[in-house]
Amino acid sequence: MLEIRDLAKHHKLGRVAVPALDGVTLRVARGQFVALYGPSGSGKTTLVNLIVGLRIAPDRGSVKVDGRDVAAMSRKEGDEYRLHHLGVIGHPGILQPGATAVGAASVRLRMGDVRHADRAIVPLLQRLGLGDRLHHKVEQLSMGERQRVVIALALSTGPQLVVADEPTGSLDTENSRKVLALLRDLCRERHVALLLATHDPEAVEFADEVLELRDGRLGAYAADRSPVLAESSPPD
Amino acid sequence: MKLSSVRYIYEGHIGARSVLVQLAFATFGISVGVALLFSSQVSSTSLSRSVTQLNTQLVGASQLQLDARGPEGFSEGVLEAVRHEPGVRSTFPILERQVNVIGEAGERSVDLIGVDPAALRSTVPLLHRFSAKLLRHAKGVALPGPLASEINAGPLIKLQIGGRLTETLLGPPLTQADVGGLVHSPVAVTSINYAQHLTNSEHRLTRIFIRYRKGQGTRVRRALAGLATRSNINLNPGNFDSQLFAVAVSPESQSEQLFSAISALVGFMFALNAMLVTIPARRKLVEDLREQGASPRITVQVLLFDAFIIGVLACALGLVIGDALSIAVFRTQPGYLSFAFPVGNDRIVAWQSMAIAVVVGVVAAVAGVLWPVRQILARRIGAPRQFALSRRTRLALLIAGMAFLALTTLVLLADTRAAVIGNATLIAALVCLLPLLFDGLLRLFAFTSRFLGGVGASMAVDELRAPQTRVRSLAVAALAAVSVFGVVEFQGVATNLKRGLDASAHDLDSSADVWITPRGSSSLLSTVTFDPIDTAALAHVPGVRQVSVYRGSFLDWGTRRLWVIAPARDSRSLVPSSQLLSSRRGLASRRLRAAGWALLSQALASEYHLRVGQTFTLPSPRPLRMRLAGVTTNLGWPPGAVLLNATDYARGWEGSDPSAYEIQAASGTSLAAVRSGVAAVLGSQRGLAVETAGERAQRHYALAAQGLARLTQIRRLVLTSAILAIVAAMASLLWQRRDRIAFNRSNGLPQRVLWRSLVCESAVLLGAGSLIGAIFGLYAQLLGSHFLSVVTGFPIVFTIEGVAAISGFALVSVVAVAILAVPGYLAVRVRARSVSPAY
Repeated sequence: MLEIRDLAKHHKLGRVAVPALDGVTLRVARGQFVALYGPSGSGKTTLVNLIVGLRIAPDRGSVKVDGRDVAAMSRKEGDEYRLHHLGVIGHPGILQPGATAVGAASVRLRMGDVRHADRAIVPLLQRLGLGDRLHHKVEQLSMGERQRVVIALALSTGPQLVVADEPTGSLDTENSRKVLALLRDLCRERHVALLLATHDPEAVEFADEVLELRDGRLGAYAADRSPVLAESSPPD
Repeated sequence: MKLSSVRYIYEGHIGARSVLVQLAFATFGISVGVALLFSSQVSSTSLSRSVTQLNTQLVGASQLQLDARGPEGFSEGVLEAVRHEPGVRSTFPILERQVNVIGEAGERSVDLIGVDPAALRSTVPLLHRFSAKLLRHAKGVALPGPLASEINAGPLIKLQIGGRLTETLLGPPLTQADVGGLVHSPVAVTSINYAQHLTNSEHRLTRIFIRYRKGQGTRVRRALAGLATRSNINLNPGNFDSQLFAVAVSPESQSEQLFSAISALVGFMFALNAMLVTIPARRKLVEDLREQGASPRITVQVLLFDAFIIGVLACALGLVIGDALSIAVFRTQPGYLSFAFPVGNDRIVAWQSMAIAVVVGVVAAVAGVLWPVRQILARRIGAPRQFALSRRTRLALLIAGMAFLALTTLVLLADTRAAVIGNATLIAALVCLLPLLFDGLLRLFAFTSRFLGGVGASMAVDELRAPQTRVRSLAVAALAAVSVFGVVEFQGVATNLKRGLDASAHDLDSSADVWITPRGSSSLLSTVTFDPIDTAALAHVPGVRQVSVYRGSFLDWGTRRLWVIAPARDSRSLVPSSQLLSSRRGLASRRLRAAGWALLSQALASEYHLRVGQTFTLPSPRPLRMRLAGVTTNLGWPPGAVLLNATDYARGWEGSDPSAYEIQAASGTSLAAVRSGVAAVLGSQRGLAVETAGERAQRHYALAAQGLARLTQIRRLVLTSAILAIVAAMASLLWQRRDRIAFNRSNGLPQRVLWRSLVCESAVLLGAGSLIGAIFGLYAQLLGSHFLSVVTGFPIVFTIEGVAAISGFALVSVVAVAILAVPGYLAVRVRARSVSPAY
């Protein structure tokens, strides 16, 4: 599904080029949940941005989704890819304040001209445990509930790949676990490839596979969080 | 995407309080631009439309009119001849005379219109509700309600006709229902018989409106043309007054078009800048939408919806503010034009004025929302652009700015008529050079602030240098620059024009030491005749050396209503030397004192292709063969003027009534004493006023100031709008800064320091912008003054009005900073938060 090969990206700070990613190679199959663990500044967000393909392009290597190179997509293909094939789960802050749970979660369906978008999103929200909060405004929801609305938004158009960037960053432990369990179950049910970028060691427990990113390089995850850098190679 | 979905997404976007507040500021900013445009348009159109209104009411369906060439009118026998002409369907004779109505609370110069009661219903829509029978027996006049209230007219009212005062009954006030829009016009209506009686013009008329039968036009026109030639009167189209007035206000219209165009540019800049300060919020919307997979089409749909909402709200608010401003700031001031035309002070709102203002507001809103076009259309949107000028860009801006300046100079030298283009290129030069000049001024401030010390100043410099906020900072500086530019240009041009008009008035008034004229403002141009007085008695007043007759009136020549000035041949100074454009003063003066010579305004001489020394026929009641003694400015009368001696005037105009007496005092005599002596002799003639040349000039200066009132009003409006727009833009900037202020507070910076930093930043931003605008405004003064001089023929004294630049710069920057201190103070009271500071 997702295939990243020898990916490198440098950020320019003035005249200095700082490496953000350096030769990253990984693969996530449909229905698989891969966690990408790394401290702040390790390059996780850069990797997520390269998968989204909207803000930056790689200096080297490729990101392929279903065999299509994201960086080589035309503008139209890119928009279509982000709307129908990719779901991005970020901070609940992206939700539009003032909108109801149904409204906020159905934005992507509306963009895709789905008829009765606010009705179509209801089963997903109910599956996420928001059946009795459908018409509550975003500000009236708890952080955990908001995060579930974000998940619904990402999954609403039926993408094959979901990328989650620190989805539990603003949640307490209990809520984090609930949200991650839900996310894992939903992706399995829908046979969706899920890549989770996190610095939370507890979050990785939900993943089928964990990789560690440090200083832009990928290594095997060590449970004691002192990873041994390995040759960048695709996981089994 | 469906409209409902677009609306849904948009509602989500504006759900955030911070976004909503910014949009509110943007909406207010645009509405200020719309208000400026709308109110200036209303002011421009009100004047001409009030005359058109009177014309329509009076002329009705009449196709032709016979017009007297002088104030004495023509014999009623002409009417009989017209009525007997085959093909004539109906006639509507009137007698018009400029009179003063005097009430308990003041006096007004009005157009006394005597109408034929028998013809009221059949011919004209004027006074439809009047009873012909009532009017026929009326021994009184009717005044429009607002005018009657203004002068507090009682049942008996005084009329000053020429130098004579008389009392008459006042009928019920005319209301809007009686006379429509004319209710705001300076008119007095009575029956023609009574008007003839009041004005001592028995069996005289000044105009006959004529309606001919279908298919008889050519025949009637031919017959009436012969009659007009035989009777020394003019045959004109029925709506001729509108044409005359159009020519009369043409210079004013042209100058107002220039200033309206500048106002439009300034208003558009206000509106666009208001949108530019909200770019970060809109850029985030674009990024959010595109990350979720929105195509450019969807993104543009949402943004256009944004523009639509902002545009509609801003235009509605702008029209309301503009309407209020046009009532409060802009009052139509007919000024000297009311001496020759019945110009009302009605405020007329035309749909075109609204349309222009709304279009500019919506265009600014659309341009503003589509500004992050790079993010909308690019395959990759990239990180928010940090605006730092590369050396190459600086050079490109410098070259473009200098090219625009060169283009402006070219317009100034080669084709001053293209002043609107010149102003646009000058503003383009300003916009190009602004970043460079702003950087220079900022560097200067940073250098001086080192010696002053203080954290506030250095924080302000850092903030202004931050590439993340640079577009917003430059937008606000540009706003201040364009505002001051407009203010300085308007004030400078108005001052130059005022000096020119004053010089002209001074020249004309100084031909005598003491003047005798009919009382009231309408006699200021000395065009109202009165019965001759005993000059022998005046000659015996101590200090009086000489008493001469001065004559003057208005004369229609082609489509121009000319001001005829006819001082006595033995006047001290016949030629207004500062206004003479060709011929030597001495020679022109000698020729004028001789018989058969006249001075003409430049526009007239050009229109009839006349050169000095050539002969022409002046279409006076008795046409005069004259030779051109010289060419002058328009002497402050927009359609132009003709200056001849009073003796020639008497030959051309049948009557020999004076319109003023010029008195020369013996040298060494007190003019005040002479004036008192003359007034004592005239004691019984309360309708006449005696004033010294200086006093008369003061009245002329006041009149000139009144004529320029609209320029002053536009300047005041631009200034007010500028301050409002700047405050809106800066308040929006400060609002966006709240997170950073909260972060700074969490780092221990006290409120006091943060507040000082904000005030300092505002002061530098606005001061630099205003200074740059003031410098460019000085150049614009030259452009505007040359335009008025060349295109309108007004007398203008060319100076660079530095005071205007300094006061404009100081007013905008000081007032705006003073107002901004309040939102700045509120902004720094934000609770300390250790969130990451976002720009």
